Amino acid sequence: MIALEDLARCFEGVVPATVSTCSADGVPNVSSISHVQFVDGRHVALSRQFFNKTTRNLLENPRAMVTVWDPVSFDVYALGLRFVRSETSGATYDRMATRIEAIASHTGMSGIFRLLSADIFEVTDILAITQHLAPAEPGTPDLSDLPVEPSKMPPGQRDELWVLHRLSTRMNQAPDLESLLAAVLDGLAEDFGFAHAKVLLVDETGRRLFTVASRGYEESGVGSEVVFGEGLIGTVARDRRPLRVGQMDSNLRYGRAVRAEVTSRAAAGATMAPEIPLPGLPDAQSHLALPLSVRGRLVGVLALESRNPATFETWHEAFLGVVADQVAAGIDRLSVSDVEDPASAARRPPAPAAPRPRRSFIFYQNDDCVFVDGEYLIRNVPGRILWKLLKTHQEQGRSEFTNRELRLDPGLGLPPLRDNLESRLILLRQRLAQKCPDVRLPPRGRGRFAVEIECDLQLDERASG
Amino acid sequence: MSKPLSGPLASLSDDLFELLVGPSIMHLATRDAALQPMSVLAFGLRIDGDGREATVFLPVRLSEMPLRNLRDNGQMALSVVRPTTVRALQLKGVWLGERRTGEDDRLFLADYFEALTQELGMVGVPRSIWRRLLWWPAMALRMELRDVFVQTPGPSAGAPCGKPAAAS
Repeated sequence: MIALEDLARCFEGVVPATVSTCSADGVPNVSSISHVQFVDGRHVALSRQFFNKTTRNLLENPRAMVTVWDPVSFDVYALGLRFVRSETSGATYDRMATRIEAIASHTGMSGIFRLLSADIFEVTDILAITQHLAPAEPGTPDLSDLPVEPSKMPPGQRDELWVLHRLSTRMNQAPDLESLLAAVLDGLAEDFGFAHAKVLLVDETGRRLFTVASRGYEESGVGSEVVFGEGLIGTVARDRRPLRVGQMDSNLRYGRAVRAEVTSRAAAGATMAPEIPLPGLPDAQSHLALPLSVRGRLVGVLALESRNPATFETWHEAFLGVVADQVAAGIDRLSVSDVEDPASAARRPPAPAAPRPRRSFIFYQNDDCVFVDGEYLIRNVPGRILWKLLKTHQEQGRSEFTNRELRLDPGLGLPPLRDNLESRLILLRQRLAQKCPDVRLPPRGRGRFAVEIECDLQLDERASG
Repeated sequence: MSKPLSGPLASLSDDLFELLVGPSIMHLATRDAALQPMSVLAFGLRIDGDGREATVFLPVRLSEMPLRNLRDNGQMALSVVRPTTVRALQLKGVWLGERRTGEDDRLFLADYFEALTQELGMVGVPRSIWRRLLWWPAMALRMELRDVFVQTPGPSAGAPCGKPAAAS
């Protein structure tokens, strides 16, 4: 018998799986099913989002058959099944619910398109159905027509443990959070071939993530926000479970079909949220998002995506889970460090005398929002930090600051513990680099940074916009 | 192909009828004497006569088990899913027998194959892979249509066409 473990990629087929059942009076029924999930070597779980004829048949007659398609070879496998039980909690249910909720949220169907149960089936036999396919033509690549993103590393250097060790070393050597994040994203791209990735951290509200670093995008997206529970990344943050979605189009088509059906019938009478634009690659076909947690506390999400629908395999989830744990520990370690290097004598040489541009900064008190030259720059805690630095620099001529003094400043509203200061400074630096490169905040060793200004500042504070 | 004026298909809206006769992934479900269901890939559907009968085409290479089941009890169900939209219908009925296929059928299926290749290309199925499908020779299974159900995923999936929505 074919091993169930060998069919892992079939459970994410580009063609939806099909389940056939039969009523007690002998009438067969066949319908598409959105999720088939491997449970163990003898069991699979099918998602049940709606109570329907399939459900009724299974209660009358536990026999079923599922056909799944291999997304690469397009061989078909028929799994003979016997219904065992429905689960509404537990690891299998939670894992499936996270995937479905992510798709539902992404298509604006939260609360309507949701998992009722994970139906567990014993797999009684597996048939490979290949007789309807002619043999592949010689020279036809297995992944023909599918884009690939191979790692650029020589094959001999792709050994997983070696790669893990290399990444781990890079992270351990990072002196600060910014270097750590760069090491992680560079390592994922160079060693794994995962060229499109980003790290999001939890903000001070504890209900939102903000992008702090990214690789592989035209726009870095730094500063963009995701609310917990919204979309794929928000779902991972809320549920604190990794989420791997292959064949994104297939899953989205399924979700959108539900949305179109509900909309046309207005059956639910519910108001549906607008579809959330997919952050990152507009044509991503697969995603892997991992929670970054330390001692049960979520610090962020590591999100990867690819145009190849089969980039992320089952083992990547576990393997990158190890990476995610190290990243989370590193973030935690470097975010709370208050160690300071002594003030350095090294200074950036003064810029040659030249006409300086004039930059107009406005701080809006009602939402702690900073605009530069009429364009949005940053808000909330990093907005308050920037305003303090600019004002202090203008009024007192100071150009060097420490993390410690920011932490001790009650006006900035940093929480007493886990203040995210390092990550807010990274965000601030990157936003300034994008929107106002004449103002920089370069690090000056651990716990210390400078304010470098190569423009004439005009600072204006207003109650509201 | 125009929409029938009688039989269960008469209740289909124009867009659902277009779904039925357009390019789609089809699965034919049958069951054996012990009520074990199974399904295989079907390929092409023609509506016959006044719309109370249809012909389902099945690659001969896949026909052994379903044919055995149909000879046992005649029960059949056909799901029709448009890959690009996941809109779906299910036809239920009983087997009336098989008939010889001819050149007319082969030309019909060749056109159908081209249309489905285009459709599947839009959802990422490589043309080079799909072209391996051995759709001919085909077996023509005659089916008496008894019911048609909307099968598009959603709370109304399983509702009989032409009747108030109710999960069935």
